Amino acid sequence: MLVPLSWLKQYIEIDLPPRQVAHLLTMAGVEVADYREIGGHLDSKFIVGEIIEIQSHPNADRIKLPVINIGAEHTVQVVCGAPNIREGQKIAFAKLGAKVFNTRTEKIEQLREANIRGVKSEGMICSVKELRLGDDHEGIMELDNSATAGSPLSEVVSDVVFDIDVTPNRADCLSILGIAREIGALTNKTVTEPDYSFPTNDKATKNIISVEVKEDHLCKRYTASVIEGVKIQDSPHWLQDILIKSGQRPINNVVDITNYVMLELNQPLHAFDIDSINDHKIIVRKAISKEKLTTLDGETRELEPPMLVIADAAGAIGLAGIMGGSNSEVSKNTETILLEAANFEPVNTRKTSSDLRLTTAASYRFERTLSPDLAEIGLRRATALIKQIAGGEVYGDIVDIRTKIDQSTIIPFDSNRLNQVLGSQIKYEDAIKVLQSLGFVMHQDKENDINLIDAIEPSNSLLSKTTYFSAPYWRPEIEIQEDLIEEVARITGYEAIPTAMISTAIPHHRPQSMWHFKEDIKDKIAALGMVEIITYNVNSESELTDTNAWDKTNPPLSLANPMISEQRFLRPSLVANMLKALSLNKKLSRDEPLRLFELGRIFIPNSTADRLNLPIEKESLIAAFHGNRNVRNWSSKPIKMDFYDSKGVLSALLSGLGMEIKFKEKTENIYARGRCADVIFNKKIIGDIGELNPEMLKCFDLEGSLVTIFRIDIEQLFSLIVVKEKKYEKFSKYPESSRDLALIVDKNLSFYEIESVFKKHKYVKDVIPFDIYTDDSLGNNKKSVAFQVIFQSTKNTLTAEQIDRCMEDLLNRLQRSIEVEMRQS
Amino acid sequence: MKKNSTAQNIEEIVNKALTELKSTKTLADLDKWRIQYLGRKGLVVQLKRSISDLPSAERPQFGQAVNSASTELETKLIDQQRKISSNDKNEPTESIDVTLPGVPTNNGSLHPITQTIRDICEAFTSMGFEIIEGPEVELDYYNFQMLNIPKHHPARDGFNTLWIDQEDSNGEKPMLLRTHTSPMQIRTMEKQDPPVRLVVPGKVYRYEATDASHEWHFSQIEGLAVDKGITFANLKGTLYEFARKLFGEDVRVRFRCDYFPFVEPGAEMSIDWNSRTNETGEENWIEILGAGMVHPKVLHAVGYDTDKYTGFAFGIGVERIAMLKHGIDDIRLFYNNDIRFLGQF
Repeated sequence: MLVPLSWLKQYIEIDLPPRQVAHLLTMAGVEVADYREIGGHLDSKFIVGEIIEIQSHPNADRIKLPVINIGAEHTVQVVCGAPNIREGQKIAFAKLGAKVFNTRTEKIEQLREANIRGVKSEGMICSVKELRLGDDHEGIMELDNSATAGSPLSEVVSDVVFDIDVTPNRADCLSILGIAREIGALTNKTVTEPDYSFPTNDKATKNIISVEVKEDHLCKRYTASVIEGVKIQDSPHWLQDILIKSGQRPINNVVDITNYVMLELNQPLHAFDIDSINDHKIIVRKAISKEKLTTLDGETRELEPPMLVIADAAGAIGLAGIMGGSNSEVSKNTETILLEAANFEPVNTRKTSSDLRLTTAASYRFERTLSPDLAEIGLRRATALIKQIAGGEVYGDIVDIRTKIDQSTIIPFDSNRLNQVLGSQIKYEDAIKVLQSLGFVMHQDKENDINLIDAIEPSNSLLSKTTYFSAPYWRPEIEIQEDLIEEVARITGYEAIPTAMISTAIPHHRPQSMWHFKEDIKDKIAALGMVEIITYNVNSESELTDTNAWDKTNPPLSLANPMISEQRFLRPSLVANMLKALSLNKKLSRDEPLRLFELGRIFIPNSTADRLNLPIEKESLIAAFHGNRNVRNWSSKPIKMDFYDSKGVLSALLSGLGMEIKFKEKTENIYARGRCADVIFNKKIIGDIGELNPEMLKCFDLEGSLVTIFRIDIEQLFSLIVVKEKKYEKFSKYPESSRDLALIVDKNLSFYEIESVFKKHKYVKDVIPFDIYTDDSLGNNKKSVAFQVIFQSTKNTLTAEQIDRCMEDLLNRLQRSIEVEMRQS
Repeated sequence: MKKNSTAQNIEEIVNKALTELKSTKTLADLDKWRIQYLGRKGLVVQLKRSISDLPSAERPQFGQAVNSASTELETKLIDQQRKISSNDKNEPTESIDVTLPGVPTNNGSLHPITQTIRDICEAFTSMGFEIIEGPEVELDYYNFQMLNIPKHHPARDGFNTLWIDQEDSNGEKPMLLRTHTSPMQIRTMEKQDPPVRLVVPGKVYRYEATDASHEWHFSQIEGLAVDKGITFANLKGTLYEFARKLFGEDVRVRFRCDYFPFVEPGAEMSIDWNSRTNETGEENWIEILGAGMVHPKVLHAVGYDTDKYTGFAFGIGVERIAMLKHGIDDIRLFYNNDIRFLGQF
């Protein structure tokens, strides 16, 4: 919303600098995003001039020699080629030495005396562009006739334009008068209303037009006036100027006045050429299905009920509250106009506007709810201006169709509630003054016939005082006491409200929160050298198919309006986004280690029958490893990270949570065959781990890379361990002993089978493999496993004999269950 | 020597011994010295033995002198031993290049958004707020309707919504990606009577073209406190305390009126960024969060007694705070996941 200061000043005295005005409005909830000063650069070399006479140039037909009154009975002669000069015109005059924009050199230059084809020019009549006030260079800038010759130009043209972001609740602030009322309340000044009066003839509107409102709930009021004998032409300069500053394009006097009044008072208006209305009959009705209307923007639109139209006997001539039809448009030849100011229902207007993708200044206002009272006020103001500017005669009455008059809401305003909500000590009398300054009307008593709104009754207190208020017609959004409290608070200023900590007791918190659990996991895994990433929650179909995450029987939920059309599916897996992150970083990092993790949500839709219910959102963890184990360095050779790097981090993470987990080989398509496993805790699968399938990696530009990941279902993990505390285990005070052992075993024998035999023995504390290799010399399908067995007793120091016996015993047991051969060391 | 032993004699011996001790360089030298003076047949022992040759009147004094000489030599011996052995250890076998880089460790890190969410949440948990979370796919009902944003309300313009492509029998889409964390206000109050004091961190979504300061996918922290006697002054107090915790003791805040359909009165808090850095000069007010007193219609909708209970709510944009704190000039960096960025936090 662009608001020129000069326009505001027509209704209210403003003596504060623009910066202060912007600040006051912003603090009170009417945010001034910016303001622009116009004409501040025009110094005393620029003055108002009046063209007294125009002489012809002796040597050039198209060049004129106007004589200009520059005040104090001085005249000068200049040379001017502009097409739009005439005698008696007030113009912007640049004296010699003024800094003007030279449209030929595109530079700001000092004006010097010129001699054009033998005639001296002692100054210049400027265009808008030459004055640096805009881009217009069609002709010279015309000033309003009220300007005094010789006075500084800056007095006439300089202005400030505020750019205001109006919140959806404040339709009133979409108008100049609304902003003026705000400033009035904030600065204790009174607003002067514009002139709504006009002379009329004694003709009756019913003799020229009939109006029928068929949908009175969609059109709460329809008012119209008839003005005959108008002369359609360009608007006077002041009107064009103010519209341009407000961001509107001038069209003709009648249309400009409707726009002007809409900006001034907020009431959208529309002028019809009465002779283009078939049978001079207006019907406000719902559109008929597939009814066509060509709107003023030239588009032909197909309408559907319940879109509301203004129709005549033949068909639609306007889209109610949105845009007029070109079939009834005011043109140069229009003599009699029907001026409409109606009130249209917000929701239907908004639906129509969104269905037709047509938002206009009018629809924007109706969507935000306007009072039916405003219609007549707007109509009278616009009628007065048309009579004044476009001439003609106004019919003696107006059309006014209003089926039901809403009773204004009477809102209680209780002194206790005011300070109960604000925590302040605002004086009740002062609060009442604020409300009155905003145009609220006070009622001392709650009258019997008034509908009190239900939500808030004043609280019962001996000390409390209650009065009742009704909101002015321009604030229909004010409904309840809290709305009044906000008015008081924002006009008084939020800085006047004290700052205090909450003094009531802290409520109970739920113990063992998922949030804290997740943060704990993040801390632990980051401490293990992993870098956290956070990715978008969406994927494309191909990304999900490639990562085996597309469940055909229950496909992922998709977005109706995704940001990128392929990226529309809510991810049921974290794999694809992790691979995208790896791929991006791999390009940047040569073979440097990449250890990334994400703890985020995956989305599993409900079964097909039930897809309107919210999906299941599961917290899930993924970690991925790629590249060398260490940053390149001088102390060790680069080693590629593999399955066991990943397993090491996972084991450390879970043992940090006090969990002992098992791994069981499995097959899944995303992993390389034979190189992945389920992660098992308490016989439940809580996740998996493995080297990714090289074929899949190709899809993510990771061809030939070794990538290992693990995935953990955090929700399940949480449910399994949340009640389990880590238990202290006593440790033996007797020393450990160890023996190394090397066995030649079947190549496919898992280490777990050896380990589990050893670990069953009460003296075996740990079994640590330290060398595993295969070699032809070992025989077909054999491998050598060397490991250290650590012995310890809780009761005494084990003797060498005891350990020897134990070793012998264990080897026997081992040989009974599997085929092993001791390697000679 | 035996017969001429006097105190002066003792002193001479000690001085000589100490001079010799100082010149010892190795543990072997030291051992030789020890045997000579303090050994079983050493000079000190000999002196002690010579006491019997003295007249009984002189014996106590002589004895004392010998004892203190013996103690002194032993103490000095230990000192010298320490000196030599430490010199011995420090004898370098081979020197190293101290300028070579250390052996690298693998450093993990938390995403800056995770860190910022924690900082913010911590500020509020210390004031008794509980952390809870809610679903990212929400119902229109919770995301809008229960928050006093009916269907076709113009306030919906401010929440450019990403809709889930599932239509009900009326052809309407009931599910969406939540546009704010506020639905958890309703979900919590539906289940729980007052008092309520909570913060809700989480991802939110808006259909917005992405540029340096806009993301369609970002994080928010919702706050809600409802109880008897909660006032706008408490809103100001709590949020000011939060600002101090996050931006330092000297930070200046200001509250202005703003509009959110689910609060009344509504407010916006800004901080003066220059006050924080103690810079003099122009104020630089930066919007930090939206807030307000919970709208009576919202409390009413969840069945709270609006005569008894009042409350305040707020919503904080996490990325904006992270950007301010760390001087990040492009919001897109957060979800690009370039480790050159992530590794800095």
